[in-house]
Amino acid sequence: MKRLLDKSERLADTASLFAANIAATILLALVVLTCADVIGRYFLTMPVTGAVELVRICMAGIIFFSLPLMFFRNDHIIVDLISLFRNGYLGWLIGLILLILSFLIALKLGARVYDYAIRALEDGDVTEYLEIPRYLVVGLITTAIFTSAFLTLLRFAITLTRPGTTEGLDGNPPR
Amino acid sequence: MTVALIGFAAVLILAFFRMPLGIALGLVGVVGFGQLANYKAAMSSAARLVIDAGQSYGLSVVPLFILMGLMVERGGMAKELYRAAFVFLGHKKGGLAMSTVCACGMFSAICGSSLATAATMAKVSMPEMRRYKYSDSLATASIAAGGTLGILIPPSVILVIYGLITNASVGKLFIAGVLPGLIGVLFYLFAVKYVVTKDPKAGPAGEKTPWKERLLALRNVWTTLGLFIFVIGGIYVGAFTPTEAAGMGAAGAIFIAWARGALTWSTLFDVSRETTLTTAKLFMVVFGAMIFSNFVNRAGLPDGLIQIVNSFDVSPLGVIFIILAIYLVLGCVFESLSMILLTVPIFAPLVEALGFDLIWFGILVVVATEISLITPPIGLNVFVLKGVLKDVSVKTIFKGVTPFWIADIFRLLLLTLVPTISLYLPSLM
Repeated sequence: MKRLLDKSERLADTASLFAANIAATILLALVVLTCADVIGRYFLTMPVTGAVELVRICMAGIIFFSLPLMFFRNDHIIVDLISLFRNGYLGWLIGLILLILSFLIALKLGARVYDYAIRALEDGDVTEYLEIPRYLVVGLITTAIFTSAFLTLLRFAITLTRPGTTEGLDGNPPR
Repeated sequence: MTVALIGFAAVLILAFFRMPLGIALGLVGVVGFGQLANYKAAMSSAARLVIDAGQSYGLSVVPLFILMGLMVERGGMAKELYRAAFVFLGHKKGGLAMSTVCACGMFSAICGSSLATAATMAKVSMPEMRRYKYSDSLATASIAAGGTLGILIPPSVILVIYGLITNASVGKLFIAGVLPGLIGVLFYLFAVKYVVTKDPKAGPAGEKTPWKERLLALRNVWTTLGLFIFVIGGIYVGAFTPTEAAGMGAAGAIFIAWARGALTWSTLFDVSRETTLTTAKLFMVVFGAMIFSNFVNRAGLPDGLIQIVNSFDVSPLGVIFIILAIYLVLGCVFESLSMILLTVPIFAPLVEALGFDLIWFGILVVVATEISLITPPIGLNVFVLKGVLKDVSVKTIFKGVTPFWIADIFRLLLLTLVPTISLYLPSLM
């Protein structure tokens, strides 16, 4: 079981890293988009149609493709004041409780966002200029949140097999 | 209002137990809102906020400015900025520490993060200061304090997030940060002067540089300063929205790094991934803060605070001083972003109701936050420096930082009593 979880850890980290690389590509596309819009507007009197909508979609891509890696490596902004809560058995126990709470919260939130995605699909909701179906973006957000929830559960299982250590909860890739 | 205060305490407790701040804020926000209304409405509102804020056009400046800062850092431009400051100031007593402060100010003009500014300048200026036998306390303190300017001198990620929470114009906030930032540089220079007057051995003078070399050093930094003028000037004259300026700035930084031979595909991709991960971390807290803010508003905390202030008959400026004192206390235990996200939703409505300008308040909040970066026990800039300079103790850095901390308190006082310093440039927009 432990060996299976160790293998899953590496696999999940690689998959999350792949998603984070997609986010990085979208960021570079966002740079190109904003430059093309400004240059098009000032020098060619031809701004990019629907640039604002595309920027919004890029933002969703940047944030939500990065989410799974952030959750799996537990790479959050944390108020790290008391070392007692960070190390040893107490740190491990607190880590487990926080992981299961994070999983439940992500699951609950994902379910509600999913409702919005379904509503956007049923209503045929599209963006104003480019008429891009909104359910695609909300669907991406839903998938990212559910994937993050699943990866947090996996991290919980992995941490459970490593009593007394907080390895994998420090924002770093697996050893 | 009591419910909101309990909620606030709950966030603090959860955060101290190392719950990710965004999750702690979101959880308390949903539970609190659920108690006041119903849980279905609370979850729906939270989900809606995540969907909307996750596609925010206004917040798209965040990843673009982070990318610009990281690119400038990897492009090795900090070294030239330091050299340009050194050739003019290095021959004075404490001149290298002064050069560090000025270089930090210039680096802040292209990088919106204090931690990145401190970490980068530590690598560049510390070896030089060691070569000239500067005391560790002055050397490290000038870097830690100079680094704090990163979040005030535009572009600043913190100011963007403040603008989002309060609906204040990000462009005006950026421009408002320029003069207080320059005053910050000036006050830090006075702090260095004070240290070397008291103890001349702390910062010996370097050799004088001929004018020919000075002009040469200036020539090397024109691209970096040009990028700042292009980005912030573009916002100032209304040529770009902040998002467009950030996009152009990021492209400019990539181009400069490429032209200097510091850019490979792998570097570009690594920096982009680092940027997106940092953005995602920031947004987690932003989501949580917005959900929490919804709850405290519903619980009537801002209105309750206004009533309390009215019943105590405190002058409006007195209230501002109380708020700033709270920031200084919170700064002892919270890092900058968390502090702003936790408190601004509560204080901003109160400050606005008292008739103050939110742009001015934003600058005061950021300066108070800057102070927290060098305040014990968790002044983050100090710990970033400790990470880079392993042989210097935290105690030495905190000891050295004291004159700079006092200079900051004077600056905060000046900016509070003379709002024109912050508001003059935005009033011309």
